[in-house]
Amino acid sequence: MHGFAARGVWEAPGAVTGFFSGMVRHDGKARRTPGGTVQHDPSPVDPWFDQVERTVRRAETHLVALAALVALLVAGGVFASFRTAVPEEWALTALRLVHLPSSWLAALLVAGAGFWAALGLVQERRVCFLLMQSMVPTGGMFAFLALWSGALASKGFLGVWWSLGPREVAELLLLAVYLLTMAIPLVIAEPRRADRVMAVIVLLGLSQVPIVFFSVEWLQMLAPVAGAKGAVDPRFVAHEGVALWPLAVCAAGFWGYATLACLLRVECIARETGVWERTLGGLGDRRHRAGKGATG
Amino acid sequence: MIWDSAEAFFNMGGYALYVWGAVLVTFGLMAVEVLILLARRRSAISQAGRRDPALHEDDEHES
Repeated sequence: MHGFAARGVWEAPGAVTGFFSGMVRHDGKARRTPGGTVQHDPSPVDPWFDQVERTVRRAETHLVALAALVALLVAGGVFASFRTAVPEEWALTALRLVHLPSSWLAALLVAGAGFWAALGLVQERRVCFLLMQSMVPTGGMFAFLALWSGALASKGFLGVWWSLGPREVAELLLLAVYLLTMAIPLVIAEPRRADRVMAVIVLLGLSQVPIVFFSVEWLQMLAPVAGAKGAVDPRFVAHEGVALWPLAVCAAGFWGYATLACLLRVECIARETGVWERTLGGLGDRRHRAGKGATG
Repeated sequence: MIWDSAEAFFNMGGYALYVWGAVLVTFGLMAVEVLILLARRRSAISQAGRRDPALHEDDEHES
């Protein structure tokens, strides 16, 4: 229990009590001295959050360059994929380029959120839950996009919007996990309980990750059926000369995008819940200012 | 790339609706997410600034 006090960043009434609470100011609120200067208690800084905050600030300093890199990776992957494709392959190539990275990221983000959920439950650090929460909406978006592009591809090539394959079901379950997780704060008002319930749901969602990654031969997506209908070149169906690396480059761009989005969101959540302010607000922002001042 | 014409490329072998429907929604949603996040960050900073102006004056200038 003392962990909460030492790392005290939960705002719930009565949540922060324990061995250290008598010795350490854990609320970190600004205090006004008789002289009128504002002082901030240095005690509640969680070193883990310190690390997150530094990463976010570093990413934001180079945000334009990083965004350009992401755009370059996606554009490069797209260009390389189309460079060798004959017109009959264009439709499948384009659909793969959006569908596969979306599916991968939907699974990858639930895996990442699951990692922080497990660590948060074990370590009892709120910063882990903030990182978990930051991944959920982006993951939900990619789960939706995977279903959307999958449905359009299915409608285009097979004539039906929906086929009940293991990948589709796994993506649908992932979307349900993401939506349920996002709904929890609306239902459970107490942040600490909400964090834990969300963590459990995300951990349940982990069961879908291996299905998404291993139950399907990704490169075979739609190709056999489309090939049978004569819609694509047989060489494409057999994947002769279809390189995986342009798809990987494009997926790396998507991954970079998701990383940046999650970093931005973790800052938003931290600021909105007051964690940013309390753990580092006075310290962090001033230190940041001081550092900037020193470097000019 | 084996180009016939730009029109052929946009036509996507007759699958234009499905292909561009998927592609535009994907990149459109990603762009919308970024815009929402940047707006959310701005409002979070200005709210924190209202709570304690001394803390966040620099951040407001940054954004």
